[in-house]
Amino acid sequence: MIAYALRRLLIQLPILLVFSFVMYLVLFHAADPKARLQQIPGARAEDIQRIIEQQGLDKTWYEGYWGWLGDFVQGDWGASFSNKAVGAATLIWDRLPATLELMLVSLLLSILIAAPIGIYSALRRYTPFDYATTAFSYIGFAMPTFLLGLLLQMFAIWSQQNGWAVIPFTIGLILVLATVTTLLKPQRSSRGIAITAGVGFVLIWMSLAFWGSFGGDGQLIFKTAGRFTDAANGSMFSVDHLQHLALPVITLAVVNIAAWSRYQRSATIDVLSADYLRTARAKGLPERTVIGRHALRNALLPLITIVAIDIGFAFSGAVVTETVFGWPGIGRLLYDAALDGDITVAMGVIMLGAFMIVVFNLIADLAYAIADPRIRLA
Amino acid sequence: MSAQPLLQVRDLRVRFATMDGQVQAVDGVDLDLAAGETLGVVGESGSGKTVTALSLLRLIPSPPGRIAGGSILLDGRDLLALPDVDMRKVRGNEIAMIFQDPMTAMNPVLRIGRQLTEPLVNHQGMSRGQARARAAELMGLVGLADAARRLDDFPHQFSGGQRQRLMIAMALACNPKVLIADEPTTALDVTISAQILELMQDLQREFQSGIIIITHDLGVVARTADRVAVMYAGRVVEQGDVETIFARPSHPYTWSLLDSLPRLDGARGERLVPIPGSPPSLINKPSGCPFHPRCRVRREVCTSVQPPLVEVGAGHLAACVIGRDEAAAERERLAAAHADAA
Ligand SMILES: Nc1ncnc2c1ncn2[C@@H]1O[C@H](COP(=O)(O)OP(=O)(O)OP(=O)(O)O)[C@@H](O)[C@H]1O
Ligand SMILES: [Mg+2]
Repeated sequence: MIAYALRRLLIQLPILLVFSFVMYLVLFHAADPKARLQQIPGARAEDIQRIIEQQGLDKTWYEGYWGWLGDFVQGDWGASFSNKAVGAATLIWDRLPATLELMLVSLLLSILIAAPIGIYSALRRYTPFDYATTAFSYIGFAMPTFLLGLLLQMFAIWSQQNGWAVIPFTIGLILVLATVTTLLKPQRSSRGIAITAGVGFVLIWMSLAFWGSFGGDGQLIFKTAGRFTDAANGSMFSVDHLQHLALPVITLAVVNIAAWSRYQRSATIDVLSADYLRTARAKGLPERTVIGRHALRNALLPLITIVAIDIGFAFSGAVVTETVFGWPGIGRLLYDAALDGDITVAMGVIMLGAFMIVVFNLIADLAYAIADPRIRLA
Repeated sequence: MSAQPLLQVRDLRVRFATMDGQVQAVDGVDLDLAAGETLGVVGESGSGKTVTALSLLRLIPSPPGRIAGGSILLDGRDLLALPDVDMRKVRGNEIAMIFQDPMTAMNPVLRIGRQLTEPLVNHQGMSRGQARARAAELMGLVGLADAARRLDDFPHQFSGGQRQRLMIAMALACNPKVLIADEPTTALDVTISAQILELMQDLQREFQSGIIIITHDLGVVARTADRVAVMYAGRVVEQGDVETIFARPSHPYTWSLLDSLPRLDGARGERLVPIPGSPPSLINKPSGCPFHPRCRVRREVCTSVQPPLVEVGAGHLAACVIGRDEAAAERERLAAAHADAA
């Protein structure tokens, strides 16, 4: 298996190399640092010329790429243009924990919510629950990340003005909306719909009754920028940190939950019609054993692959979320580097993202091989 | 029928609700099975054999399926009236089933030991250890070597024939009164298939189970069955001893089927006579006898009256307005006409 993994990674190396070349070319022509120097107000021509020579900005693209590749392979990934004291690798390395945290928390949350939703809606197909989750996952999937981020920021401001009651109010509103979506399909009367709508209305009514009684005095309930209020002394386990974490995590999780729950639903439906479930029932096993022991394992197998592959892509997909919420991770770093024309840093982040995609594609295969006894990698 | 039947099915009806309408998959089936007896059920694809078998275990997928009527008496107890909890105690314990495709009938991610011991733990309250020991015994019984070690293997590590043996072991685990085998050898090659059938017969002698063997292979029926039920469009159209059915078939569908297939004994260089037309739609069944559009000896009444299954000889039932002797004469005449034409 280790040999297999190494072989797979080696095969990808040329692809990564070609990719880096293409990306460098694109960035080199887009960034144009010489033009930037010209725009500095009051800069004298000879100073500009000196900087260009010092930093080697008059290199051609192939000289630049060759230099970058040397730096990259040697491990410091080249000097940052805007922060010459440190290499790109150090800058990225410092930002990595923030991104990792955001990703891991949102991934965990997504799996824990998406898998049960998918399985349950497969088991209760064509029920109000199924219709409601279907409707919501379409919305979640169609919503652009930046728009969702902005909506959540508006929600944060709204909660600042009106206090904690906005949270149960919003949950109640979503529950009521969910029951409305189920009514679009003709339904037999269902206890589920009644209970959901009932809970929704009670939540709305209670939160209106206590509107503004908890908070609402301008204190931020959700913090919309950064990772800690006091970045130097922030603790991972403080309430302050959770307040910062909540909205970006939700932003990232929504798309995952929407996609994965749909995926889990169809994977489960496939398994439910499998012959071996009929065999299990023919043995006289109770339904919960048939589902729990025979169906679930098989139904969860395909999700492993999807999640692992999506983790790889999530690395490069965090740019929008981190930018909207000022989250100090590598996505935000890439955004800033792109604006500053800082080719080495941008290249570093992009290559890290590409590498992650390769690695997690491999992990997807390995994990599947471990989980499914039929597959042996050679 | 000599003995009091172990299993007695009367007027069984199963419907499926589909986009195109109600499918009358099983439409008034009667069957009897005595202990130690083997009943062969034959019929074209789609005639309702599998659906009948699944109904006996009440495993019709619902929706879309529904057992719409009839009774299934096991030792005089009506299974259709049992509460779900009690029905579960029947499945795998009193009635067990072997499915057609051994490649898909076993859970790919569970070890064989686990799948074999499940009925034992479930029905007989055995501990894991006891059940494992018994499972190894069962594997030996169905002719799988090295059982103790192979209990920890997964299904994909066995060949098709071995898997069907495992399915048999699984089905026999609780020594069921009735064993239903739905085309147990269709997916296997001829030699393996013969071994499996032999194995089932050996085990039947040992366990005294009643066996229902479903097949569209008349050769399998001739080799294994004591009695035969012929199904057409969701109904049993003829039922009788295996010798009688092969020697003196009464229903036109039965003998048309026999004449359309090469004979086992390859007698007299006979010509094969195919059955014209194709099986009827089960949604809009033909009026009267469902076979009449394809029947070469049909009468006026056949288009309007569906004949009941009546005794035409000792223990020989057929659902046709033409009597047994008249049928034999018609069959002779048609065969001669066909030989002349050729
Ligand atoms: N789940 C289902 N939904 C709708 N119709 C079904 C379903 N299962 C079976 N049927 C219908 O019931 C009829 C009888 O099917 P059945 O599987 O019993 O045939 P069979 O005699 O076993 O045929 P084969 O020899 O091909 O196995 C078929 O017309 C089929 O279309
Ligand atoms: Mg069948």
